[in-house]
Formats: sequence, structure tokens, C-alpha cells
Amino acid sequence: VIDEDRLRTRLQQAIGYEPPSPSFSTARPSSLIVRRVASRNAMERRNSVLLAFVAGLISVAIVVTLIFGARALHLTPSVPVHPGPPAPVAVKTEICQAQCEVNSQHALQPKPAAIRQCGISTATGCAVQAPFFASPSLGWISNSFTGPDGPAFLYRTDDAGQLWRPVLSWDGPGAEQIRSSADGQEALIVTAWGSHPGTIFHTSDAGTHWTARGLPVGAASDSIVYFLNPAEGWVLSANLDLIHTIDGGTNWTRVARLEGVQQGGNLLFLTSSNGVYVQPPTVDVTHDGGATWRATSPARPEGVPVGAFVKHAQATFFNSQDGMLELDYCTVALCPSRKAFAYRTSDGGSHWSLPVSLPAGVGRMIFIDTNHWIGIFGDVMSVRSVIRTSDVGQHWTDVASADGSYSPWDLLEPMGFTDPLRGWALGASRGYPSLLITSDGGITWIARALPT
Amino acid sequence: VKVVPTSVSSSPEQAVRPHEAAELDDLLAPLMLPAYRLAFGMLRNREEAEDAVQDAALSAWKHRKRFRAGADPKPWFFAIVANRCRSTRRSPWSRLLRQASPVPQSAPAPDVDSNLDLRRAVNRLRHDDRLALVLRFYLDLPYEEIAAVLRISEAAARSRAQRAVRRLRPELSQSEELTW
Repeated sequence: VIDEDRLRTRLQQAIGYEPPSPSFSTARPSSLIVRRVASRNAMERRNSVLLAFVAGLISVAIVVTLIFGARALHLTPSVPVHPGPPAPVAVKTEICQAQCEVNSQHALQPKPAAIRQCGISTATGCAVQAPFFASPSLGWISNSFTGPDGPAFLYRTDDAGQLWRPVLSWDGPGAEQIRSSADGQEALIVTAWGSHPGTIFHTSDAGTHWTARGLPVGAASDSIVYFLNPAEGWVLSANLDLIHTIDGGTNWTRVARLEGVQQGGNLLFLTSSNGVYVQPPTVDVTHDGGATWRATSPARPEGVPVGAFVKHAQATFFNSQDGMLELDYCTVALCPSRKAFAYRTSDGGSHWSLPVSLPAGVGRMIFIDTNHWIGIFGDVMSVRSVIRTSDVGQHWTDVASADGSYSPWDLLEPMGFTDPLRGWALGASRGYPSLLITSDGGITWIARALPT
Repeated sequence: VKVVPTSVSSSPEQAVRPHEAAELDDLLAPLMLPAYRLAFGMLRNREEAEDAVQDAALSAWKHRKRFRAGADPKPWFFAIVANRCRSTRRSPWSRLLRQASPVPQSAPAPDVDSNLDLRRAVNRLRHDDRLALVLRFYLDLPYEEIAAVLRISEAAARSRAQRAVRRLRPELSQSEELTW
């Protein structure tokens, strides 16, 4: 049995029906055809306009894509381009990129050893320079006559200055730095530079034979040279390029450029890795041989006037971690009445203690270690008195001579200690030069003769 | 009906010349609403159905010389309408509109889900099966006229309608199945 009617009903319900619009149901077929043709023609015109518009858009898109694509690919036009005037560029000349050339043409030449006695002051036409003790008994010292051609002489002692043996001479400025191994087999001398390029003399046989090497090309007069030992040293050029040697100046390598620091500071390295660059009021510290630097700022002491500035700064290190920093604050440029403060560090300069006020009027400080300090009143040519502290500046005592033959002692620069008890200094009394030796931390001093 | 050949023009005025309008109206006027119902059954969209019938009328008028004088114009015109519906359903734009078109208001409220499933099943039928189904069960035409529209034999028309119903079987309940 066919339930065709029900199927028809279901289909008609599913498909549904919507009557035509009145315009369709009442219009004659001929008018519908005319209207349909008109509608189709209008649609075709719209489609044509739309097609033209789309084609235009596609063309523009293609052109824009080609233009920006060419720019992205850095395609340059084949026609010659005439550039405008070059923009001003700040040129910062570097000494070298990696391996640095050594200025060997102007190196001084070593000459046979000789003795030439002279005084301490340059007023006599001769000056004692750069004493260095690698141990309490082994020391080196230089003297030279004024003038660019010297001559200059180098001496060595192996008995704490009782006997000086001439080991080298050259026609040029005197020694600026002397470094020696503890046994004295290897030594390095850097001559003063300025009007002269500067020369490195190096020996590996206790001074029997010497080789001369120039400083790196570009190490101008305002460069800073610092040797940690006879092999390893650094040059900080005028444009703050730091270059490094580990073979006594034979080869130099550029390490870094010290950005953001001022020229004229003090550079010293405590080890191959740890170093400081003191340029008041900040101290830049490195722990990677100078590749990177971090600025530290010691605390500003209370009571210092707002307008005060640091006139003098000096850092001294006793090992890779422990060191002292002296900052002298002034309120006017000539610094007639400066106020000095001492800071202590136990982490290679990364952090500094609160400032310790130093006695008023002290002209120079020598730090034996972090607890023992020596203060000198007066200037280089007229030392009035010397004081000493063993408790971080809490109490100070006067320093007296061992035999009383010189009173007061004229302790002049430089002064150094090979350990907390044994030290040395250049001294003078009544205009006669001498080497002063202490074995009790600077409490008593005895005189030794200089080369004669 | 006396058919006079005429040129085909794209301009509205030239599509049907004034002296031909009466002849055209006499030929197609009785077929317009049944043709619309056929088109709606095939397309389920009023605007598309109206456009299909108008396009079919224009096409029929252009090719009226193919019409055998004295014959029933209904199968001939329905065949043209069915072809227009096939073309319309094939266009992507029409498929998009069909997917977005709402359920016609004429659809009965009860058993909505069942009608929706059946409508989807009808939409999935091939054109020929769907046309046979619509002609038979939506327009209620006898198989003789269906055969004339489809230009097949009456038996073939019946067979095609049965095939279409069988393909709808999953959507129909047992009581509604045909038992020819």
C-alpha cells in the first residue's frame, strides 16, 4: 500500500513554499523579460566596473610589492647616484684591533753599565728615580741626568742597599717603572716617556744581557703604563684603549676600550684579572683582566662641603683583595686646606668601607697594610714630621730615627713595603740622598748609601 | 500558437519587440506560477526561483523556434526552468546563499527536526532525482508529464522517482515508505 499522499505531505512540508513577489506574480512575461534583461545589463556593467576596479587594485598592489620588495632586497638602481655631503662622523682612532704594533724604531739602546753619582733633586742636574725592592734584600734603582738624552743608569743591590752594582745605562730619560722577579733573574725597566716614545728594557739573566723594546705604537705621552711583574703589563692609551702584554712587551693585544671614564686616572692591576682605575670620584674595577669594568663610588664623607671635589686620589693594594684608597677633598682649585679620608676594601675594590678621617694637614699617606698607615706632613723637599698608626687611624704616634743622626727624617717619595714590617724609602737630610730601610713597620729607619 | 522567429538582442527594448509581446504573454503567462513553484521546489529561495523563471522565459523566447507548434508548452518550458535551476545550484554564490538562508516561514512548526533532516536529504539528491521527486510529489504532476519534462519514458520517470524516494529512505519512517 502506498502512502503516497503522506509522503507528498511530508515532502511539501519539508520543502515548504514561499509565494512569489507581487511584481513577479502580477507582471506579464514580456515585461518580466524586459526587466530581467535590463537587470542583467546593469549587473554586467557593475561587474565590469568592479572588475576594472579590482584589476586596478591588483596592479597597484603588484607595483607596491615590487617597490618594497626591491627595497627589502637592497636592490640599487643601475643609474649612478650622486650622494650629498657626508654626515659628520665622530672618529675615534684605535691604537689597534687585536695585535698591536710595537714602536721599535725609537727604542733606546742598552749601553754598558756605569756609575754616575747624583743627588735626589733635579736641581743638581741628576735625580734618583724609581726604587723597587722585590724582596727586603733585592732592589733596583735608577738615576739619570736631566734632558731628553740622559744619560740614565740602573743599579742593583742584593744586600738591602749596602752595595749597589751598576747593571745598565742608556742615553735617554730615567726609569719610570722597575719590576723584578723575587730572585732577580728577570727584570723590566720602563723609561720615562713624553717627549720620547718610551722604551722597555728587559733581562732574563739578572741583568747580564738586556733587550730593548718599544712601547705600542700610539702610546702617546698621556698614556698610562702599568706592569704587574716583569712579564705582564697594560697600556691605557689616550683614547682609553687598554692593551695588554704577557711577554714583557714583545707582543701587545688590545683588550677593551674603557668607555665612560676620564683620562688622567691611576691604573693598577693587583693580579692578572683584578685591576682598578682610579679617577675621582669613582673607582672602576675589573675582574677579568680589563675586558669589562664596573664603576664603584666610595661614600662621600659627612661634613664635606657640597661644592668640595676630590683633588687627589691614590689606591694601594696589598694583595688581590685587600687595599686602601685615599681621597683628598678640596673646596678650591689650589687646595690650600684639603681634607683627606681613607677607605678600605677587602674584595678587590668592588666595595669600599665608610671613610676614615685622616689627621688635618697630612700631605701624603703610605699604607703598609689595612691597619698600619704612615702619614707625612709637608711637601717633598721639606718634610716636617712623620706619624704612624697601627689601629686604622684611631691613634697616631711620631716616627723617630733609629740612631738619631738625622732629625727630623726627611722621608721622600717613594716609599714602599715588601711586607708589613720591612720597607724602604728615599730619604735626604741636609740635601744628601740616602736610602732609608725599616724592619719594624716604619717605626725606626736606618740610612743606606745610594750608588757612589 | 504561431511562433515567429526573431533576432536575439541584448537590449531590453529589443529583447521583446512590442508586436511580439502579446504572443509571448499568451505562450508563457499560464506557465509562470507553476514554473515558479518548480523553481522554488528546486532552489528553495524566492529570489533565485524568480530569477530562474525569468531567465528561463527569456531563453525560451530566444529559442522559441525550437518549440514544436501545437505542442504543450508546459514540459518544454519546465525543462528550460529545470536547466536554469541546475545552473543556479551549480554556482558557488548560490551554494553560499543556500547555506546561509533561514528556514522558510511556511515550514510547519511541529516535527521541525524531522522536516529539517528530510530537507537536507532532498538537497543531497542529484539534480535528476531531485527534479523527478519535485515534479511528482511537490508539483503533483502525473508521470506522463514528468516523462515529457525529463524527455524520458513514463516508466523511466516512475523508476527515477522511486529511486529518489529510496535514497530518502533513511530519513523517512517505515509507514511512509513506498511499496510499489
